[in-house]
Amino acid sequence: MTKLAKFLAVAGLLAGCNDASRSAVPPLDRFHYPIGMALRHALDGCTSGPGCSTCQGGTPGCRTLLYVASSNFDLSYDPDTGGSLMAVDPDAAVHRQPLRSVGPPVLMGSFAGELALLDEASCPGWEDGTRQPLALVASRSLNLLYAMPLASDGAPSCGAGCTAPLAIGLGDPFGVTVTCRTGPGGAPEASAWIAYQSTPSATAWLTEVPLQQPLEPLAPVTLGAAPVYESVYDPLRDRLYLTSRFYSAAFTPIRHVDLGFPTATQDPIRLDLAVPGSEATGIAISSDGTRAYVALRLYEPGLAQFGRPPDIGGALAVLDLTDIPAGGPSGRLLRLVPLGLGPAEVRAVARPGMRDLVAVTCTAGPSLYLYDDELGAVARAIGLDESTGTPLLGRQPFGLAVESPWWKSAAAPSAVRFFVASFDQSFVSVVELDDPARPASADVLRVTDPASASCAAVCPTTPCAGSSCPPGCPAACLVPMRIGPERR
Amino acid sequence: MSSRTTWLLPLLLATACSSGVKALSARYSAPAALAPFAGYTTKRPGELHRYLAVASARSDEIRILDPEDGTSVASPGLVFPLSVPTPAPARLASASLGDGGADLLAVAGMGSSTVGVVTTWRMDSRVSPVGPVASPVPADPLSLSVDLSTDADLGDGAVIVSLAAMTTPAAALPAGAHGARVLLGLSTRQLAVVEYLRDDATGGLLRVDSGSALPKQALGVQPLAMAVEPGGSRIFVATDDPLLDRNAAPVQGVAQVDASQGVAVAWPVVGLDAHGPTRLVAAGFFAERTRASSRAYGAPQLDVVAVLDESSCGPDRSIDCGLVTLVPDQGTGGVPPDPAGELSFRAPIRLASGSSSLTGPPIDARPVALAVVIPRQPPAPDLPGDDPIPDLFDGPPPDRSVSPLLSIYRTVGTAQATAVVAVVAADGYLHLVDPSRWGVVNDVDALRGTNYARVASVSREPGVPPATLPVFGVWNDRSSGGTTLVTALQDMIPEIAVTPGYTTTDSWVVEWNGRLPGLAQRYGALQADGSRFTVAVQAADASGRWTAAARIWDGSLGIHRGDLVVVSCPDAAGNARSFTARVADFELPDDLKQPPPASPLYPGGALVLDGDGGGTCQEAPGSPAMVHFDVRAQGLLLRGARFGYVGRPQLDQTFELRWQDEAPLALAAQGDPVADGDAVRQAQETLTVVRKARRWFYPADGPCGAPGSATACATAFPAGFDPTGYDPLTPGPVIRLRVGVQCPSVDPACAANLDQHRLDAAALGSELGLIIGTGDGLVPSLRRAVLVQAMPTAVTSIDRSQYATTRSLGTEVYASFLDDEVISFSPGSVTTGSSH
Repeated sequence: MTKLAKFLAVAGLLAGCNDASRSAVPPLDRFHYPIGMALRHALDGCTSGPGCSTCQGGTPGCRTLLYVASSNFDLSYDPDTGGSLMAVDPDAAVHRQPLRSVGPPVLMGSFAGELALLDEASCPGWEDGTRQPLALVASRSLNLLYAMPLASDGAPSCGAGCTAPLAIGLGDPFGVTVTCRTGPGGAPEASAWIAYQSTPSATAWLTEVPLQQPLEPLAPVTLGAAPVYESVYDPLRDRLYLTSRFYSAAFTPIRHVDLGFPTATQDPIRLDLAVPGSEATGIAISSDGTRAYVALRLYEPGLAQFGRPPDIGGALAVLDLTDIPAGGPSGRLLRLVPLGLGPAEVRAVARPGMRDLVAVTCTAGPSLYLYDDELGAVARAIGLDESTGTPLLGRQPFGLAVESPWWKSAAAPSAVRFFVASFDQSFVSVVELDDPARPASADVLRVTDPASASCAAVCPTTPCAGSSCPPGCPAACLVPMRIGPERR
Repeated sequence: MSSRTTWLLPLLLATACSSGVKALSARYSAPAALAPFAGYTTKRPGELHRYLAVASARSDEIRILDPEDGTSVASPGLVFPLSVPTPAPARLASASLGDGGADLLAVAGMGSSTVGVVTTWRMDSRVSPVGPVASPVPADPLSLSVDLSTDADLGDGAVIVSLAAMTTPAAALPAGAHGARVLLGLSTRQLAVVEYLRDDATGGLLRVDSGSALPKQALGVQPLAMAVEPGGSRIFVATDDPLLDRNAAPVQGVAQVDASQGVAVAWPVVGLDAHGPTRLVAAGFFAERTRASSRAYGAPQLDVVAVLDESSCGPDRSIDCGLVTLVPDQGTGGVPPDPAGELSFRAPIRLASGSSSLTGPPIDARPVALAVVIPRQPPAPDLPGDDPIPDLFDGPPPDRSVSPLLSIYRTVGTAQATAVVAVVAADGYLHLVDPSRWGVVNDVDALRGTNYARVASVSREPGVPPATLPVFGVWNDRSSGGTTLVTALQDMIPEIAVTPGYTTTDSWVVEWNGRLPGLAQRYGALQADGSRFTVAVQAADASGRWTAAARIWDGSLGIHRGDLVVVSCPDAAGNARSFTARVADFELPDDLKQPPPASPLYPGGALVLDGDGGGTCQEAPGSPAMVHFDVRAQGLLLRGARFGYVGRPQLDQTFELRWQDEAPLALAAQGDPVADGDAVRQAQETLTVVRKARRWFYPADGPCGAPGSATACATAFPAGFDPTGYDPLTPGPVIRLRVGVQCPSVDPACAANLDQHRLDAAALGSELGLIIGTGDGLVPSLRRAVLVQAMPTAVTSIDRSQYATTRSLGTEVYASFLDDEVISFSPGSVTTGSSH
């Protein structure tokens, strides 16, 4: 090899390693690597007060608002402002078309994490006219928490005092969970609990941020080894449950923090003993507070001596949260249900007289699984389109928001809608379930293929799902409804 | 060495390290289910051969393995293994049509409403197209698969919960016909039946016309898993729903469905009592050992082996988790009596997790799938392998033509049984279970050898006790009738009794003023309540509402009146202080009070303290102090590192941790806490402790002979000092000992001053007590994925002696793992093969 060739090769390598970032503003008519999602409702004409956000979606005058945090994962846009939080009305969205957001989207730092909402639905008594609902999301790159007030129409904003810098020395604040407790005089006291994934010596840290002005995070507390991935709040026991990122194959804790005793050390549930080679990601609590549904990414523990081995499978663990007399949950493994690769977000749907229905996204599946805890089995898996082989919900489905109950029609007054965000393709799909007691009938919301004139002649003009689609419309004419344009 | 040699050498080495993978890799991707079947493939044109179907879930296909040579059936291109495409296959089931032809092989995907049928009778091996449920059936003769969502009864809401297949009984077939059924356990608590007949013209299948809806049998229970009686017509259904047994008594366990008649007739359902809900099931014929000998067997009988549902079993329930054996043809068909005569039913077979910690409670492995593994069928006395080993039997070995045997590899020597059960579990292991000996296959002897159930060690708390402190020992009750207190560590070992089958591997601590497990450094509130002082594990939120983090009133925690509470708190000046008080009484949790107080104060109950020791803290009426506290026993306390609190030995009195009848205790624990709180708490404590003393396993060993004989026990067990004739099934204590104290010369009456001596020891950083290490004599026989510990997904077995080139081989077990691997092994061999 000549000197010139060597020089060119080195120069080419250096050029390839250039990390000069762009300062472009992100597009505000589409999602861009959506990550956190959350839902709320807004009653038309209601400006403030307890009834404004507690109406049932689908009922007259009750508007559904879907909040989506875009992460600017590829850093195509300005790292400090290339992320966004956007509110959209999913019922007003047009298939694959640019989005019309509710109010202007709010720009934020890149690498958004989980999105949590604080409103009357999540914290009874909060919207008493003196406090605004908030959207809470952290930028993992700026180490900043955003507490964005939501206007009466649902539009987010971020003015002075909307952000709070998080703990120095702790990084990657992915997890955000809202807790709502009773304060002096019975008024609600809300906090955001921030979990960090990048911590010294891979330890677990939490920061409580009381949601009051000014936003001032409290000193972070440590819980021991293994950084927290995500947490979920159980209001019945006033307790946080936390999943952990990979630390070692010999320690996979599911922790709990009794908020009355936040500094007391609690014995964690040791998943590594029951399911060796598992890393917990998403978690949800059953509506009666007695069970945890935990998404597990499975690997070969024998290969974990020098780091996290690649995934070989996924599962949903159902854990018993019944308290034992000495305190804390029993943690008994009740069910272990195989899922696809990369289980991520988990949501539980309450069903009267039945155990919960549990939705899980799998990024590498790609699938949405509906696990029926009454049956102890997966009732429905939505993965590939059997006719085209393409993923029905897009590549890497991650973000998940559930609307339940949702008034679909007089025949389906307690239907459920699942909103699933394709991280890689940056659109949101909708899965409808008319009767949550029959989860096998869940189906992707579809629209008539706009590219086919012949289909338009025999197929509906409005989106439909499953058996609500007219039988005369050929299946090939119906394509999955997508909220937002596809990222290419 | 040239650069070429530098890279050629590792390449050659790597080649040499090949594990002998066959020419054609199987290319499994997340194998999820296994099913043996007889059929035709392009690998052996025109030859009806028995293959293994492997559901390769992530690659949406079925692969076909030929167990005879361990290679996969190749695709037409020969470069890759044959792919039988089907979406995300998660369940497989196969059944013979009873005519010696190709089997029925059915497949179902996870969360799918479609049941596919593989064309086993054709060499093209594909899943037949889906035909409508509605007649005429089939419009296309090959449209044999079924989509339940087209069923007129079900619509699109039914979920396939379980899948099985069976040979259609002759009574349900037209004369001369042969057929098989696919059984679909539905979420509607029904059994849908898809019936197929042999098409004599083509050798294929015909689906029986069922009109607009498949025939369904009402089960009334959720069919979580199904097993078909080998060679019979009964279906066994694991369920977590209540059942009625033959006497119409309510039971929980397994539903037995008599499917001997046609689908137009309602199939009778009776419940088999497993003493709890079940979620997995298998069925097979086993010849069980007798009560008198582990090496003599009764006649083979049909046993149903079921896995108890973990939500209703365990150390805090009336039955431990594990596998139960049901005998459908005896009595009401439930679990047979305890052969040891202690329990009212045979104890479940517990599967200890291969990943259990020695410092926490024992973790039961969670079964994922199970399969009965039988010897070669039909028996072939002319073939070598699995021959009866006379030394393994008391009396004449079984007649192989009646009860063929399976050899089982054990580290300490081969065992033989008429069948075993292979259980793959979430701990990453395959556990071998020997129902004929009522337990897991034990790789060691529990009574003999070097790993027998025993006291392995006795030691003292860290720190060398000075001569001024008393020393604890045990009385020589076992060696010399209790005449001397033994304090030398090694000499104490034979004086402590343990029982095979009950004693677990653990580290026991017997301590003066020992800390109660779970009650060290608890954060809570110290309150002045009227004239009393209370302490509880609770805190108040900003509104003053109390939340409890422990139910300290509960008797299962083992707190007694007179116990010591060591409270640490800041005083008025903020300095750390501590004081010790005794438990004088117990305060009921608010939810147990009648009527519940208007202003809840003690959500988890409280300990009422004696004296006014609280004066050193900041508390005052209405202004509790937040403190940390320990609870210590007022005298001796025994706890295990794994089992926690187990009781309070008294000085110089025999203490036994031993099981007793739980039923009256469970009843008393549910008594009125207001009227009879002490009795309720006592019952809760005793119930919790005796549940820790349940039988852990049935030793598979034979009775011991006289000392010095070849069959002598390694040590003396509690049945008597002379072990002659010791019956290893004898119920006994987990641990029995009589603790005494040897006083120092400076305090010859030290027994009255042990509290102070304990404080003296604490000042030296130690405690007054003994640490006793025990071993259970149980090393479960485990197999796992080769090289790694991946999650298993399915298990089955195939008799390899049916093949021409492997006639001398016996039954092979196959288990699939998530690392894209299927392992295989013979129960009689330590060698494990693998295909990827």
